[in-house]
Amino acid sequence: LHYSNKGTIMKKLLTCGLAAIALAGVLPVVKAAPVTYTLVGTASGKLGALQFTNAGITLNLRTDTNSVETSKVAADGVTGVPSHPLYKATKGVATLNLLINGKNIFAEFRAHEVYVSYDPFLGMVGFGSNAGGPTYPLVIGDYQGPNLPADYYYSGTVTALANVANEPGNASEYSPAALALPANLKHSTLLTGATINCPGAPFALDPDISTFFCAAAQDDPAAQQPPAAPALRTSRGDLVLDQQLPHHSKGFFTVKVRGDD
Amino acid sequence: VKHFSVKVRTTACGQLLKAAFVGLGVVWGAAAMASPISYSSTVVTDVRLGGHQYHRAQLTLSFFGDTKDLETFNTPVDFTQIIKGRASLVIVDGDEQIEATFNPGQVFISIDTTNGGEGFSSFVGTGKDRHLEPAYPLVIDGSGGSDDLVTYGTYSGHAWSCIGFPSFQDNFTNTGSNCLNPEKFPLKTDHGDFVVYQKYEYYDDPLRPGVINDAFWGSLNKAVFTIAPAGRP
Repeated sequence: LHYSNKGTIMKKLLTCGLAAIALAGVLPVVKAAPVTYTLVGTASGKLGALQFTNAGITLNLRTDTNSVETSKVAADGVTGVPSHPLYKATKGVATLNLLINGKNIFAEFRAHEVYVSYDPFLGMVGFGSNAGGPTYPLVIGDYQGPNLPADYYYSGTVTALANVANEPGNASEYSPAALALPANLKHSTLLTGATINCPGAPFALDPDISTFFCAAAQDDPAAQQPPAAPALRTSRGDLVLDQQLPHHSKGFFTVKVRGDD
Repeated sequence: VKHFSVKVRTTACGQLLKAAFVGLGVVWGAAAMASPISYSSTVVTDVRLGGHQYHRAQLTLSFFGDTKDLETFNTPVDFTQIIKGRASLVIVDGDEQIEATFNPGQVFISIDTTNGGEGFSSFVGTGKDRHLEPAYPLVIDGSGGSDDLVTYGTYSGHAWSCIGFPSFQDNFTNTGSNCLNPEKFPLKTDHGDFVVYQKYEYYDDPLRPGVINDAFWGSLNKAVFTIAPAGRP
């Protein structure tokens, strides 16, 4: 009896094991891959007691692709931007490197101090923060206002992809390699353009489309002063970056997924 | 000056820039103080080194020289260059990092303050085909650049790796062609031939479909360019 029971148990275990193996072959496996988000550009501002001007800046966030959250942005009836995805990565280790007079200065952001987000239809990608909003400390794009698509003329690949996402007929304006770039945070890609920031508030656009300013409301002169840049906490003291308006500095943002490419 | 004898490829509006190199201008100034200086530029693009292709890799070019070797011209454009120095490259592709040193006499640093462009220029080709390429292997243009080659800082702009720059910009005849195939003009390094590709371009002129838009926004790629004291990482 004892041996007979043992045989039955073995058979059941074997059956279960085979079933599990078969199931694993059928069901899709959601595999997390390490990913690094990197923004390279220029910046002026202050880190701890160190004031800097025209420094090279590299922002990094290391996480994995499973931590990317995808939300849905509702269609905007006024601007015509359709409903589309918004990608955001809030977990991971975020670092900062400043290149000042040939010297590299490294710092690590406190946990959850900054995040990465990408709106492929507005054409904006980069590092936002809870203290400074979606465009602070620094993003790539030609952001013109809430729910306004990028100014494609002053473009990089991030605005090229946004242009074609909104108006597929414009694809002939770009080289095949630009059109082939993935437009999300889960695959390796290269997103280039103007480096901009605006703490706490979106950009407003002057009616003559010749000047941009970082302000809460374009019709209110008193509000047209840029809000104070908030301090972001790092291992080397607080980071404060000066305002960067569109069409001045440029930069690039890369998504590097291990095993991709 | 030795480089004046180099043959220059004739390309539409690029003639002005190139003319500065061939001696139509006059060397009118040089940095008074000798000081070791370094230049570097970083971009993400496709490159080839020694027969190996790297897709969307991070490329950093470096040049070490001395400010006493800066040469400035004012005709037909305001132009400064530094030819004497050592140029090298680093490719970062995932976990792989490859370093190489350019053979002497190919890559140098230039800035055109009239048109707004600066970075790594080169002499490419061999024999009678040897000529100057102001926007190859990597220069930046557009707003965001520096005003000279001595003010320390990091600057940014549209990234150009263009053989034949800017042959596409003939606004008078609405004609032109894109940058030439860089594989025909490899730069020589201690790790074999080196080629940079310009893959991300903007074509927005209905009269010239498929041709680069202009000498600024025509390149969708961006790069940073750093001027720093030499001897530091």
